[in-house]
Amino acid sequence: MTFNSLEFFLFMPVVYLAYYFSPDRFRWMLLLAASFIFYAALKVPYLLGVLLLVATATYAFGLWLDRAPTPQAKYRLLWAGVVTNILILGVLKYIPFHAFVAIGVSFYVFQAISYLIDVHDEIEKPEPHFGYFLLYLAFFPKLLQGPIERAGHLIPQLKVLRPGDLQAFRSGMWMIVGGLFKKVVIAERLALLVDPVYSNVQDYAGISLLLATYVYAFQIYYDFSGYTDIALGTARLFGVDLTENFHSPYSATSVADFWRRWHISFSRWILDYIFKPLQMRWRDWQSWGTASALVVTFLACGLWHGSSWGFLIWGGLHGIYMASSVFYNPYQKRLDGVLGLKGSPYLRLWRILVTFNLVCLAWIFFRASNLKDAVFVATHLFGGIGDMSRLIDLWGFREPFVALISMGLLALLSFLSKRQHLAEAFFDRPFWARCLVYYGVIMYLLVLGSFSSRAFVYVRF
Amino acid sequence: MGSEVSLGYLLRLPLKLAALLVLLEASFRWIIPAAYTPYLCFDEKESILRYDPSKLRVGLYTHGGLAEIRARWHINSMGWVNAREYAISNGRPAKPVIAVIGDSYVEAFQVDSDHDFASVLRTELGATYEVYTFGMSGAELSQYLQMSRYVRKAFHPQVLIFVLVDGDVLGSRLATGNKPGCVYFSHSTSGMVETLIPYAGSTAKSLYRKMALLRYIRLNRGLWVPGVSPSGDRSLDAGKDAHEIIDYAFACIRRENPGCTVLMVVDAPRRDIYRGKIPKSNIEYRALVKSVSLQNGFHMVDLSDAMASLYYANHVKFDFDGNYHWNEHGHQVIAEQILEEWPRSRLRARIPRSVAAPEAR
Repeated sequence: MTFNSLEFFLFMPVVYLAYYFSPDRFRWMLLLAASFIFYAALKVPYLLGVLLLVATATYAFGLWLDRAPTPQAKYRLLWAGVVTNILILGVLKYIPFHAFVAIGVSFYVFQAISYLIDVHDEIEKPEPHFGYFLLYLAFFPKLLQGPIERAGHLIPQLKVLRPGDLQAFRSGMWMIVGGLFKKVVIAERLALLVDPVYSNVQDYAGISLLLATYVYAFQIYYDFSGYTDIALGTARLFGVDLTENFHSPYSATSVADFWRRWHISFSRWILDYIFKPLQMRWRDWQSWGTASALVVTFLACGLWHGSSWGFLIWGGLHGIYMASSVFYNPYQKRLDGVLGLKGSPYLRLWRILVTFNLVCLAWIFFRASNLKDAVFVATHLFGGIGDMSRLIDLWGFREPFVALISMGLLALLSFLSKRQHLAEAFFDRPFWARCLVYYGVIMYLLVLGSFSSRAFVYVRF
Repeated sequence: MGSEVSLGYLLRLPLKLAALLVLLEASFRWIIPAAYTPYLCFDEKESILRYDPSKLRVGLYTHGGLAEIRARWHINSMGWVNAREYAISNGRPAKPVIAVIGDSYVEAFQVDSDHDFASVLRTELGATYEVYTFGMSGAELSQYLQMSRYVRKAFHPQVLIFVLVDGDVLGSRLATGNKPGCVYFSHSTSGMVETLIPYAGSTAKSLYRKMALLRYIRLNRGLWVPGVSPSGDRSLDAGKDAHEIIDYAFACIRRENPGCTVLMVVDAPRRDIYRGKIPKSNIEYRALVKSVSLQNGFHMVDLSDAMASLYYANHVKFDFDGNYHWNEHGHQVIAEQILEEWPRSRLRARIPRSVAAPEAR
């Protein structure tokens, strides 16, 4: 089931109440059963089998790694475990014609791989309890779209499960509502423009393509961060803290900074398990080694999203952005110093704009249906104004207005909550005042939400 | 660590939630009125769905977040969405009857009852004909056939107008059809079989009808309605299955309605017209309907050309934003197209009274 389905909103209170009233020692079983039901509700029978296969294989390899007598044996076992996971993922995700649905698989396979590497590097001890380990992979709030959790962060929490305290309960509920708001009020509304334009790119020119690309950058952010908020909020109700995945990514001042703010659990994963080992291996090449490691890492990042040229070029572009910064960063710093621009807010703003545009250029390849469309968009972005009436037909005036107001409201709330203790102030108010706020939020969601059967964007990865 | 979520807190939550629900319920009753649709009932004798005139005769249909689309509907004493009664004396209507059969596009909840295309036809042809509409939301071509049997028995129409919209043909398959009280087609070794999905009233449905909040969520916002896209996207009626269904349904209509003029009105691929590109598959579908119509001696009104040329001339859409049903402009265009075809339809020979098929033209 997905977070924006009716089933989820019926499922959640039932699971929460059962969890609340069950004895401590049974809570992990309850969450595991709930996770299986959640996954089975996708009605793809083999997915549960794949989850069990990945869990069993990784669990076994983890134990064998710990018992391996020599470093060479350990190394071989690590590779066997990693290759097994990659093979499972490869069969499901990369065989031609998309014969299988692989929802969630790439997320928990990455968790499994990180677990094996951490056990091999003795960062983590192997988990002896299969139930906890299975729940580490299957925990339903993060099963379909992450965050990609590290064993050291999640498993200890799963061993002492208790319902979140009142503050966690309230903040969790608000996160769920906030996530829904991002998805149905903002992302879905933005998709009303992006989807038709990107389905028929040849019918549009210049400013329409540019606008659709910019709008897509926000659509995917609100869609994915909306999902993550619901995941984090849900986990919080059960007393589990998941990793934050987003931190204002479009205020990044460089592409490297963007990756510190975008899909954080994933970018940390590729940094730790792909980039760092490669950089170590190629350290003799100095800057060239780092640059090459970055390109390879981001190509792998593109490939993780899917086996199309679009994803590969998207990853490749990010790799090139990051690799080139290895060479120009020292000169740029010197130039900023000479021009007296260090710390200037204008320079910061300029960098934010440049970074945003570089990221948007890459999004074209990520979003377009095929390489031909992507090249068309990239080469026609500045092809004049074109027929704006078609764009107005698609989106009208109300939709962008509501989207902008809603984005502004969220930004204002986020800004205010950083400066004041909004939550405490809110919960100090009498019930009727809070009720009016809840009423306002639900009315906003229902009346201005744009409801469609569109799934969350990242669920297909 | 903060204070725990106490049992008292959890027990108070439903009360708080109830207070919130009361506020929302009031809002969707009086501020943004939720849609109201008539009560369904199943006519055991005719095996068709109709509306129950004993429960509710008049109501307000709304659609959209702010109930932007608002129209009044009326149910007549025979259980059909129409402000007028269907007059029958001595088992026969006073004037020759034009029967319009279709789904929600014929019900036309979205426009006031005097602005749908049937009303325009009535205004133009009322001196000579009665125009009766038989629309049922969710009906497919298989159900139109079933409805036409009831219409023939009850009203002896001279003219039958069927309104075909996207998905009506492939939606007739038993494999995909699931509306209780409707008939669907399936293949058997002996040919096409008609199967009626048993109808059963549901307590959950009656409860949902009583709650404005639930009606708003489902009818106004199209939320959580399985298999229905709020934008009106439906599968394209193409391929071998579509051909067989059209062949079978049209042949039944021809055989069962001797002496009757039949007019097939085929909706235009409006979304494609707005995009500026009509896909080949849609052109093939309309060509298929046309050829089978001609084989059976039916007339056909294909709305595509008229809607395309009008749209490219003035950029006015034929449907609502967020609701693919025809707006008043759409209904007006449809009425005009039927009236344009009308003199030709009337002059041409009707289906011969013998059940033998006429020669394909």
